Amino acid sequence: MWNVHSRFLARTVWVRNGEVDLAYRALNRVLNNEEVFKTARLWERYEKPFRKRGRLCYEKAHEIYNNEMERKIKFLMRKNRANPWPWN
Amino acid sequence: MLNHLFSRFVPLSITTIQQSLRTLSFTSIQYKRSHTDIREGTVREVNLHPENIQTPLSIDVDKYYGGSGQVRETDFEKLIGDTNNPEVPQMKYEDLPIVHMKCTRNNTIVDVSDCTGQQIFRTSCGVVGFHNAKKGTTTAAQAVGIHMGNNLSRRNMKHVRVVVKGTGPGRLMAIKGLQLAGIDIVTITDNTSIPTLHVGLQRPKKMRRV
Repeated sequence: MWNVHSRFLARTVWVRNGEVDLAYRALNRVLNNEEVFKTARLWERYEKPFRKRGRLCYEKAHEIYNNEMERKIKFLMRKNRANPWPWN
Repeated sequence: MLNHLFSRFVPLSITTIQQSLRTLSFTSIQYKRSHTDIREGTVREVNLHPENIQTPLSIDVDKYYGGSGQVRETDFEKLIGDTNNPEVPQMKYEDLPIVHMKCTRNNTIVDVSDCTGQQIFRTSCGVVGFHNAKKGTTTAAQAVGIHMGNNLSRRNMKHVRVVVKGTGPGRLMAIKGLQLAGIDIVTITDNTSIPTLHVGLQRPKKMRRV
């Protein structure tokens, strides 16, 4: 492993049993989790500061909304329990 | 920030029970990415498949990465080659040829080089016979992969490692084309260029407005 060029140690995926599709999908999943494609797309063209500010505001608001919605759904799912008075 | 605000209002001079109740009511809301189970706190919070619990010592690495592809230290020391052919010696991973694929929005270019880095062969969508806008499609990428695969098998290079660069339509189909031509792909690496912030960074072009 130490003789291999460092370029091939990171961001590599081994193809097992000739299944190229699964390997490619695993690689894409890891790269998406680390937001590699997102940054590459952002840096393709210059993003002016006013657009960058707007994008960051939107992302923060989106995250807060998602978290609050998850909390609400978790809370409401507590109604999904066995009926304590089944004879009624 | 909200955590800090709430924690300041905890009173100190009260009995222990009242104090614990007060701290409960003033606990802070934490804004974080919550990946907790939706069934928490319900009666139906039953683990239906307890055998699939993975402790840190017994993690199934292939499953964690969705089936296949996780690299282990011992993989790079394996010898790669045909086990049926005893005459042809098996190669180390470092001596395999490299196939570079540059996948842009309008084209896919494929290069083959030695383990040292010397270029052997090169194709693109234009060589295969596509023109203009049709070069930036998946079918053209597959044709390039097949063309490259035929050339490689003619030169007796059946085991190959692939390096992909860029986001484009030909990212997957070029690899599939290679596979269709009968080449054994050992690894897939990704080499998309992510510009890092440093002093000499050149500003990219301005946005395209159409």
